[in-house]
Amino acid sequence: MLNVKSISKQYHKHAILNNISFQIKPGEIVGLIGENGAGKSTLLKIIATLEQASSGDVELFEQGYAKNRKALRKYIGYVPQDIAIWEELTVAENMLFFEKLSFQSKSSEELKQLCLDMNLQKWNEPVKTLSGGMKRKLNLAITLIHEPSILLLDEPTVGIDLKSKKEIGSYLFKQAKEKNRMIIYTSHDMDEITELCDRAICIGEDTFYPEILKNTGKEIISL
Amino acid sequence: MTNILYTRLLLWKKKWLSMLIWLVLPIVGTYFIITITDSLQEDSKVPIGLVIEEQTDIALQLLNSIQESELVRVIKTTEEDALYRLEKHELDSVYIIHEGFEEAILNGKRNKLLSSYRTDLSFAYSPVKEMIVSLVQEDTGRSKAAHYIIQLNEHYQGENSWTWEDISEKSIEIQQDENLLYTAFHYNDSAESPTETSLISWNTWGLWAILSVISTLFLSDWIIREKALAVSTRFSFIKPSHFTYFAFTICIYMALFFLFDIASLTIFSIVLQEKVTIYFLVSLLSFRIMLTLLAFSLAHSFKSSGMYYGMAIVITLIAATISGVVLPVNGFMLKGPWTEIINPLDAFLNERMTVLWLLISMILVLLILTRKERSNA
Repeated sequence: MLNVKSISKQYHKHAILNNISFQIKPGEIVGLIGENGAGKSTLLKIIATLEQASSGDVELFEQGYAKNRKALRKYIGYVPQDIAIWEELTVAENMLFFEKLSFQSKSSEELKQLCLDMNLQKWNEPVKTLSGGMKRKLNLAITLIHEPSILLLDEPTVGIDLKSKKEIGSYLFKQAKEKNRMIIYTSHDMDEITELCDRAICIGEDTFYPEILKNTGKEIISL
Repeated sequence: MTNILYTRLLLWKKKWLSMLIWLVLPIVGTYFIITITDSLQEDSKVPIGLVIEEQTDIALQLLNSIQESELVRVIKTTEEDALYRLEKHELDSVYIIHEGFEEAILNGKRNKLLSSYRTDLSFAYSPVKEMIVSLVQEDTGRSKAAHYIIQLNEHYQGENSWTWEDISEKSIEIQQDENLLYTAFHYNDSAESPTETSLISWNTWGLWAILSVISTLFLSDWIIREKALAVSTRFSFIKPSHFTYFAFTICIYMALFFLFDIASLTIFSIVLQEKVTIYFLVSLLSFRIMLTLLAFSLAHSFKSSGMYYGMAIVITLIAATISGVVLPVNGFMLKGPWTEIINPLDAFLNERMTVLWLLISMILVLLILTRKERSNA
């Protein structure tokens, strides 16, 4: 279980996040929504241990970040908004590169299967020749090599075609429901949030997003 | 370690050509600079024809002395061929050592020992003639002195039975030991010897060190590039710590560089007849470790590759200048016990182990890696 406890973040006395608290259970998909600059990416980075909160703490499996930041990273998978892969390497080389440095060893076949599960078949193609959708899938596949318990995705489907978007969405759904992974997902696409997420957390004071989701039947938490 | 090596090899595979070019630059660059300079020096010598009508020791000694001069290229030929080539302006001037040259020298005669020919285009005739005349005078003076010593020995019934050859030989030896007029462009620690015949003599390892500085700096740009890429985020979620990952990666680069250093050593010892000793090998290793660590520290402090490349060029130029490797600045060259403090290359250029800068570079890298580890924790 992930427990975010009264997180606040300030940059040069400017408050980005103010007293944010929520919990996520295994198998749950949570959408993080809000206008640009509301602090979604900052919150995701804090949960990913990449940034430190000005106050408050996060607990993963009842272990606080303040004391166990590095040790908890093996349970966390973070998919940054920018495509974080080696453009000059092939899909196979990218997977092998990160497997060698991963917390968990995997055979070449297992890595290939991981890509195939996402309908990423161009195993030996250089990444620079892939479409945006394929790159996004590889971006996600690399994050899953060490089988993280919590998956944090910062707009993972931005700028890609609908088919790839649906494939990524259904793959993430399976990851949560079949492998009991916790997923936090930021997006501006409300259809995607409605389809995929069990509930949505709205960051910021703007009421625009909660209004849109009001009639979808989803649980919306405004923070 | 093997996993980190594997990942590095994956990245190297994609840019092997540019890496290879930078890695062989010190070897190829040094070899070409030295051979091209030698060839240019040879081409810039004045071609003169020399005809020897007698094959005596003194005549051959004069030929040898002229050939050793850095100003002329001697073509030994017949009078007929020499004059033909002079007419075709292939030769600047022609000099003939006549029959009876040795006898005349031994008798202390100075007139009509040589004949010379020139054309209207013999621009170097006067200095070459003066040089040959001075060499002949040297020989006649030496011969006269030898005769005088033998006469004195006989007159005073000395016990030493010196021959003319013994005295001449000793005279040449003393002249070489006390060579007051020898001048050449002098580079830091270039192997200067009394038998040096070229105007410009490079310090092979000095040149190599300068080219190695720029090559190492340019090959260390991976730190800036990888730091700027989005992929750097993933390095927070890898099994090895930042300290381990970067320390091993630096060691891998160090090993690669040293492999090419050994290749340089082998090639230079075969092609340029450079001496190889165990002590030099140790000094080379200490220099390589220091250079790799300093390059890492420098690259780590930059965010933009362009700025870094500019700085790399400036640093190389400064190193080349203050080390006296590229500019023949004998008087200007920094010398003194404090030069090692300001110049990281100084110890290696003077064939000593790099100690001070090795320690400095190690401390710098340790500080950087510890800070990196702490910020990642």
